[in-house]
Amino acid sequence: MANLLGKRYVCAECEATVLVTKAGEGALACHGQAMEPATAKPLPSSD
Amino acid sequence: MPVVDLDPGLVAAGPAAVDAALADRIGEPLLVRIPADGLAGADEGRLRPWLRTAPVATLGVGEAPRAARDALDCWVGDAATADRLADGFDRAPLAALTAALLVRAAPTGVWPGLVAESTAYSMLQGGPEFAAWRAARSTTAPASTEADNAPRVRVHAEHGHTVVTLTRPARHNAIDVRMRDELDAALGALAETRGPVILRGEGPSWCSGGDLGEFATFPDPVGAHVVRLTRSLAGRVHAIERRLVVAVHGACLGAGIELAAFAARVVAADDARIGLPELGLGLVPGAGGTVSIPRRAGRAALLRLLWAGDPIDAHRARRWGLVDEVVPPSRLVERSHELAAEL
Repeated sequence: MANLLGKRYVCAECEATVLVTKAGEGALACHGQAMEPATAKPLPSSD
Repeated sequence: MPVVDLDPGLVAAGPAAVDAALADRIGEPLLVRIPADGLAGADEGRLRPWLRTAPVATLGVGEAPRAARDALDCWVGDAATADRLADGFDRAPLAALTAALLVRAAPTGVWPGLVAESTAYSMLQGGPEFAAWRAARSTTAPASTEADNAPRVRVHAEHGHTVVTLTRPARHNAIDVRMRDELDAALGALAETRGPVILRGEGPSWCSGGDLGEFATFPDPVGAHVVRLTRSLAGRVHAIERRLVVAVHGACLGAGIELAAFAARVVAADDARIGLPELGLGLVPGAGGTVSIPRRAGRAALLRLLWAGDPIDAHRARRWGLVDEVVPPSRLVERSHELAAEL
């Protein structure tokens, strides 16, 4: 899976977070497992 | 009725005479109807500054040259249509006038326009017309209790183009917080890519606008302004607008047409119904429509759609410039790819 520019990836085990500043191929791993893209901070409705 | 009909002779007499005629009503959210024959006899140079700064909405009625029409907020050819717009204006005069003043004084540029629109929207969230809608609704239509966890947005490649599909067909792709956030993330990631993007909706409709079940759930109007600009779908769509095709069908309401109108190309199935229902809630468009629709079709078209409240069909939308093409529903997907390939 390509790493997307500007995306944050987090480790499910520890609190490590990686910010992609240059996109490219390859997989980010931490604690022996693939890091997941961080989801955006939840915000309430504006309507 | 918050409507004043100006006598043709009065308009011809100039701004001082008009002000005198309005003196008893000033301070109210008014729609002032101006007959074309009055404008014909008026000194345009003297009337223009008044039209630009009048704290009332202006609606011209009759046949007049383009330059005269453009000086007013909105223009219609006949009295029957003017009556329909006046009735629509009367549903929420504060919101209707706010929209007219907003698009008349529109700042240059998309982002300044989105900030101004959001400010006006938040102001109206704290106003009496939205409160009245909210009070009437709480007894008849409780907030949605839907709890499905299905994804709201799907992104995939098709014929070499990136296709973003809204996937909430049972609700005509109404935008709730989850869809907003999923679409925000999907479009944000696409901003880093190249190549054409096609936006479309699964099921009977492209997009019926904001999810009414979640309306009035904002924490407070001022905080909502900040959230709206933080998760701005209009901003996301604008960022990729030059390589974006939107395919609309069925309900194309509120945010549905507001977001679509940013795109380089909009293709509509002939079953599309295009409208701005916001005035019914005492609000103005809040998904960029006061920027995208005037840019495509002029501010008069925006106000006409908003004040009337009734949706228009795809063919009329094409004549107004809101959509670029109308095709049979069976051709919609194919045509959207053809248009994307031409970008």
